Amino acid sequence: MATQTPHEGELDQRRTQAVTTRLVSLRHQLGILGIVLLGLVPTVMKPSELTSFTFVLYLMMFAISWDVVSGYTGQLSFGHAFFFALGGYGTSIITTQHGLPIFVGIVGGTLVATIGGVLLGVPALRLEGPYLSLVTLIAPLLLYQSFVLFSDGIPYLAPKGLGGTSGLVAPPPAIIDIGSSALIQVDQFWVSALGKYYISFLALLVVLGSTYAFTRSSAGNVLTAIREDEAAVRSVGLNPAKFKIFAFVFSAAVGGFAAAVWMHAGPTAFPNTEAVFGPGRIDKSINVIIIAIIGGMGTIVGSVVGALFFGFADTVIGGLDVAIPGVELLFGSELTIADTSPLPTFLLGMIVLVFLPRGVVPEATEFGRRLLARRRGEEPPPGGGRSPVESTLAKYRREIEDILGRDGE
Amino acid sequence: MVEIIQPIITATFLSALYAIIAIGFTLIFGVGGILNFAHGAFITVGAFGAFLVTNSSGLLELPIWAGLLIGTLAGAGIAALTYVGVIRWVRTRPVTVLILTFVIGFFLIYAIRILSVQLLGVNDPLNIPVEPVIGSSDTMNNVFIFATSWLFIGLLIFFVNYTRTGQAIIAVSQSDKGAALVGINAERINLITWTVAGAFAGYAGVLLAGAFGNGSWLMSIQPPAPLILSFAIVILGGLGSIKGSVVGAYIIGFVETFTVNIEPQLAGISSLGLLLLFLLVKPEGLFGREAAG
Repeated sequence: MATQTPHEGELDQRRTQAVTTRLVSLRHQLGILGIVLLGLVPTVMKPSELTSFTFVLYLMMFAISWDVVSGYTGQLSFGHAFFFALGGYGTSIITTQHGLPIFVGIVGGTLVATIGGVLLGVPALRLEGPYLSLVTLIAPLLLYQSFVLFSDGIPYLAPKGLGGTSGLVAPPPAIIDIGSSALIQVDQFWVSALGKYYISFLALLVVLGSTYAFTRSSAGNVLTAIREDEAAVRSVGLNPAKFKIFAFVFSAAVGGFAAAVWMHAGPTAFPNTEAVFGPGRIDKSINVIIIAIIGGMGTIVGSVVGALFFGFADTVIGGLDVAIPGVELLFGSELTIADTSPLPTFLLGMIVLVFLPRGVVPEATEFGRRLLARRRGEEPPPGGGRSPVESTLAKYRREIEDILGRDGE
Repeated sequence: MVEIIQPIITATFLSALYAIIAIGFTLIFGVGGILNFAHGAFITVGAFGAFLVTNSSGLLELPIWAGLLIGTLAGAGIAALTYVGVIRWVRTRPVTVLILTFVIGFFLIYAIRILSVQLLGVNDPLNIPVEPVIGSSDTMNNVFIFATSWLFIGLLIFFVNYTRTGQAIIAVSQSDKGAALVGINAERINLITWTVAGAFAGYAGVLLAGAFGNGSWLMSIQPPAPLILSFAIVILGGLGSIKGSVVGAYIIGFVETFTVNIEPQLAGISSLGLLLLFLLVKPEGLFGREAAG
């Protein structure tokens, strides 16, 4: 019998096997299962519950858009609501003030946010860590002021104005709703709730797919490399600035797209400043960061899990009608736990930041890997290098020490 | 002639207030290397503390002098608590600290909003009344702000440069390890820095709210937006330099007063423009790479 080299024979079979284990590992099977479950959510929820859950899908998209730039390249943005506002207002103005179809509005809104990403990203990314965070923090505040400044109208661009603090008066047309202004008119509440959910779900799939493809591509690897060691990236002849700006602009586009779809398919979405920036003008940006961090920075999937956590915590807290003991004695009126929203969510964010800085998804993945290895009787795999958070903070420490002129470690 | 003198006087007074606002922020960055995004919230806490003890909707009705004291103490207390309760445990993880101070800041101002609306029955959390410190006239109040601004900044510079604790603060700001080698307890120094910075923030909060007639739960980001202002001033002057911050405060104060004089629409935008220009051209600021001192 002729000796067979290990590469002959069942080559095709082994190749298929290798591909399947590589592509459809347990992790990915779980991910696909998760998406399928997310798609089946309407089967177990009442229409009113579904309406509030639909918003969680948008939180996922917003957090993903933050994660693409901050989680992967380590450039912390503190004002991602800037892009949400551009996308949301963009599509609203295109559809209500220029009378163009919804599809054009969504594309246009995404484009407006993308342009915003270029205008902000090109100068801002020349800056190092904390300075960048500062500029991104100021951007939405300036935008807010300009909504007030141009509340009466900008010639040609927004003839009816930006509406000031209370927002645009005319609601953007819905894709599916009860009533005559919607693109698809239905006559029952549950049908419209279902339709909105699946349109939002579709948008989530688009966002997930494109960001997943982007971060797992060779460009995505460069981004991770930038987070790990920017000098090394430069030394192999790649321009880190180009990649960072690309990630920033891509992230802006994703955020703008999500916000634009939200205006037409989201539950109770109005183009007002409170909706896009949050009542505290920066808190939408903070919520997005908290969500991505709870789930795990630099994972994309983490944002999905984080948003579920966030939405769940919000619902639970909103239902706690228990008075906090002692408050009545001090102030003479009582305060229930539900009244204190959003304090508990902020608290949850703080706790995760202090005790689980890597986030839920990476911790769970590693735990699962250990468990599997033990079942196969192998040595548990060593911790795979530094986590995204560790690298990001190492980068920041270097930059801050640089600014302070201290000797690095 | 009078047209020139009046804005100069206004600008001088405004700048003195700005200097007080920014100084606490500089201290924390200079010593701990921490960009404290909760600084604006500490300022808000100061104003709210004063409101609590001086207004009929609050808990007590004391004169505004007591409010000034309580506001300052409240700022110091909340800053010390933030350091001991949270920041101390994550001090070596700058990104976590950055995001945490951001979240803590929002936690605090939301807590103030909830307290005032749900418990104290304040109708509009954007309008929390605080009186000026010297009520008789605007000028007297401005003179008071100007005088105490220089007094306290002078005391701070003296404290940092001529006392043992101050020297230790400089040592820690230069090198954690070096300071540890000569037996300085960096923990203690950091706590002192946070407390002093918080006291400055609280004091600034009462003055700011008094000068504008009222505080607000969003006062840290509403014009003149002390949080953003501190950043602007500190970046202009160079991160971590006390001297730089004072100079930065005066530059911003003057630029703002004069641009508003020429074109009132530019309020709050000119200083941001200046900030962006500096960030892009000279991000290390005028007195950058200099430790507290």
